[in-house]
Amino acid sequence: MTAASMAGVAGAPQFAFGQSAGGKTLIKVFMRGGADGLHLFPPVGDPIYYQHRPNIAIEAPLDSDANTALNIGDSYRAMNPNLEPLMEIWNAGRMMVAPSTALEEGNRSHFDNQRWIGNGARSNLIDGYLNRYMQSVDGVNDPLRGAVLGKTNMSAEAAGNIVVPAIQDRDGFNLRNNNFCAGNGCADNQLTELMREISSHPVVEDTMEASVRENQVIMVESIAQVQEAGENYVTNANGLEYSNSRLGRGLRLAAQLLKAGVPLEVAAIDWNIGWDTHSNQIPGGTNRFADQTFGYHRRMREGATDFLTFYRDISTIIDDVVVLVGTEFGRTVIENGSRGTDHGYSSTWFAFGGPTGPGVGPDITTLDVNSLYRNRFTPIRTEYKDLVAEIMVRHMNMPEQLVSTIFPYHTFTNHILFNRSS
Amino acid sequence: MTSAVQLTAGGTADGVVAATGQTLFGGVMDPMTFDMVTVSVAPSGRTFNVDVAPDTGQFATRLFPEDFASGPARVTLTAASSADANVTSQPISYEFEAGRVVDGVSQALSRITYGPTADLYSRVRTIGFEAYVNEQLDPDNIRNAAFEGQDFDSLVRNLDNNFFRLANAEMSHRMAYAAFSEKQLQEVMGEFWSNHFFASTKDTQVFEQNIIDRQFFRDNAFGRFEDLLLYSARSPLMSQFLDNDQSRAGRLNENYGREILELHTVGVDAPYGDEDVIAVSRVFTGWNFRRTNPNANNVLHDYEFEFRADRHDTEDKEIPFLSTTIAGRSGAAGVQEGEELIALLASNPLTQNYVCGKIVQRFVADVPPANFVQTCVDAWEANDGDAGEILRAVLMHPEYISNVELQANKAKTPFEYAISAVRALGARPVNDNFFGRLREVGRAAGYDQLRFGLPTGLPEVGEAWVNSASMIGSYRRMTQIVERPGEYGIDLQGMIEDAGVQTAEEVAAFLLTIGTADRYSQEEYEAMVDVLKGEDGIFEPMARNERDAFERASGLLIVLPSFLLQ
Repeated sequence: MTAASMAGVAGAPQFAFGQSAGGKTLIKVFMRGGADGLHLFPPVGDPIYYQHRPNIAIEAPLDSDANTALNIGDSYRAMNPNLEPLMEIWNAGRMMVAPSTALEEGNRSHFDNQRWIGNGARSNLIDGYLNRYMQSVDGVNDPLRGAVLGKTNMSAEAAGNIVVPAIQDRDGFNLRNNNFCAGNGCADNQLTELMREISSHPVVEDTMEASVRENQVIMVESIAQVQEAGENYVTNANGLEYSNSRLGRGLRLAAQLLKAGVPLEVAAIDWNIGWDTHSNQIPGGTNRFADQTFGYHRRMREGATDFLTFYRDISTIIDDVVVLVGTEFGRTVIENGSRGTDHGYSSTWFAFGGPTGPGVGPDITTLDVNSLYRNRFTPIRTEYKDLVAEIMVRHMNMPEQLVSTIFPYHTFTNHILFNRSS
Repeated sequence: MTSAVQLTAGGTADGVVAATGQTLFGGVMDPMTFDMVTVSVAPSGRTFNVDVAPDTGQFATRLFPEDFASGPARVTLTAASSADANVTSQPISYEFEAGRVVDGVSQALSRITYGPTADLYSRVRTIGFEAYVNEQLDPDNIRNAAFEGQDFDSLVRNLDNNFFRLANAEMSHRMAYAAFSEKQLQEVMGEFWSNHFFASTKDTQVFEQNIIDRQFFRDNAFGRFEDLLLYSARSPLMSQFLDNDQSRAGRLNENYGREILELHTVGVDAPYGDEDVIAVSRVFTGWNFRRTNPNANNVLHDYEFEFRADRHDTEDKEIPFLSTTIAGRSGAAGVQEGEELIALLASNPLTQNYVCGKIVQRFVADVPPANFVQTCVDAWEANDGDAGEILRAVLMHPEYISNVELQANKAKTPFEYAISAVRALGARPVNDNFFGRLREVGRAAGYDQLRFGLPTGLPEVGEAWVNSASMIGSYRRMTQIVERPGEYGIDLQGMIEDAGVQTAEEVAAFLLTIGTADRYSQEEYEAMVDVLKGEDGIFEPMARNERDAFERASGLLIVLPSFLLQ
């Protein structure tokens, strides 16, 4: 079955552009576990950093030494050496770092903060902000308007009234039973047809049964689209390939869908490398900041390579796609007793693509204990909601007055970080 | 039989049937003449033919909620012949009213077991909800000889020091208990505690503790909360999972100190702050473990709890949100601080409330109704945190089986989905590979108890698993199983012979009743009848080989929306 044959699902035309101009995509990547912002983009310009972290602070950039941080042309911040693949995007002037970003009303719990950041407010009662975006602007009526990519569980960002699929990868996103197959290669898949018929029957809304049926319909329809999008896809990244991590799978799927013209507007992807570094954040030895036998370093580099692969792979449409990477909180400024760090407050978020302007966003200027939040955590300089909101307004052309709908109770501060003109 | 065609079962003597739908069974006096029955349902206006079993004369049909949309339903039966349209019996009519059937059978089978089997369904129907709950809460007196005879514990005997093999073996072990033990509620509750006090192997050699801890929570599923909390605090698996083995006086690691509050006891909404987390972490400094077979090579490493006084913070610890100070102690007495704190936390009302919320979420509704939580808290208070008595109070709450909004309002986790399919289809471990694909059903959906990394444990709420990626993962793997009935001991022909049903309508109703605890929709039933009859429209399992029809039926059952509900 082709995507075209699904037009008319739910009784609406397949293309119904309204308030949104369409054609733009936001990909939100979540580093689950509380990524250490001071480690990703170390404040090498601050001597206090080295006092707080005698074992794990990364040394200032030294071109001749791969075991030091990378120079990003900023007097205070540098880049973790394991993120080196991102330098290509950085040097192209298409990447931004917001080093002190947080959910202002957040706390120190992974699970609360992930949920609240996903919901867009300290509330358990509302849908995810990406879902609320889809509800608030008229978009394309398509089962793949929004999606969770690369993993099997729903993300709080994308969950809500508009049901979106979670797709781990193309190969696994299919369902056939030999006893219900006819035609070459199961061209006539009677099982998914039966499922569609059964699940399309209306039932009482807001029940678990309704949710199961709605997800089945979305599943059957997304199967067809994903299969079709992948048919002629090749990764075109100058020799790079995606990894088989959640991030790699998710970005690869996003590239497949976008390059096939699927009207994907919002996607949620996870980048989990073991960010919850309570202990042993670095290995021993002489090459302790870049040693690729150490899993944390290796997976960080693998992720950075996935971002670069994606950046190259979609180079012809990079103006239409913003990738925003964030986490639920940063970590304690002072290292703990086991060469690790505990739960903190603000952390480093970064973005690339679309109108992302180059450089370092609002930042702290000192790690002096007296300027820290509760004397322990890096304070907030950017509310994450403002990053998302600016992308929605500047990149997705969402009317600015909708920001308070996407993020209830929030007053928008425009940091002008997404101001590149294409 | 007193007339040419009549109903023999379904509904009460007063003509009341379950508003959620009910199967009606009937018979014709002369099946040689009448091989089908025309059924008309008014006022919903459905008219259709159902098959008559040639040897028994039995037939079945079903009423659905739609048939009662505007009041009572009238069912008219006319026996007929497929060979001659002029051969019909006198029509006979029955009037039915939809009523609330408060027998708790569906609720018991969906929530306190891993799903109905054909045998268990009839048994609970016979003995009733209350008797079954009481029986399940007394596991020592449950006859479990058939299960024990299969010695599934051998799956986790003689393992070598390899986590991959151990994790697979223990997953199979857990699946065997869930699928085949008669002590179903003990297994459900054991899984609950194991997930509440969740821990997994994290970059250490603490492997076997996954098996030992799960067995403890199984054996003590109806034990006292304080004992369970203390056990988990001392577990080497927990210690390495939440870094408490890294924490020492002056070099604190707050991971366990935070999670014992947030996840194990008072819950994240309790009014504790960073100072409390630090104080609690200091109390538990020195709670560690040691290897007990340090010199044995190539065998599983054995560990046991060890309190290391030299790592313990001996100062007093003020815990503001508990309005208490734990007096600091040095030497071996330092361990008493943690034991004292555990006793305090275990009896704290915030803990009762938080843990009761999770128990009610598991057994009643994803959003725990306040009255059930209160019942749970009261029972906790009255019984010193005895989990068996807490469960009895929650399950015996009158609303549990009478409030229709609490029925089929939850979704199965991928683990529950896999096990319930085994039970519904009567699959049996006829060969050594039985558990291999079955493990993948959960894993493909992102549900892997032994490799999950978050201390929250795996989510219980339906919204975590009801999404296309999770569903497609488990559907694909379960489809691979039902495509191979012989390899999994699935024998639907044998099942229907035992049950004494044989027409497409009878078999559809039977399979769906077992699969869904008798809660399924009209379109699911009609699709099931259709796939049994196949393209030629004929289903005659006593006269010809209907293997394809049975494979289609099981293939359909496992992807039906109602099969995913519980």
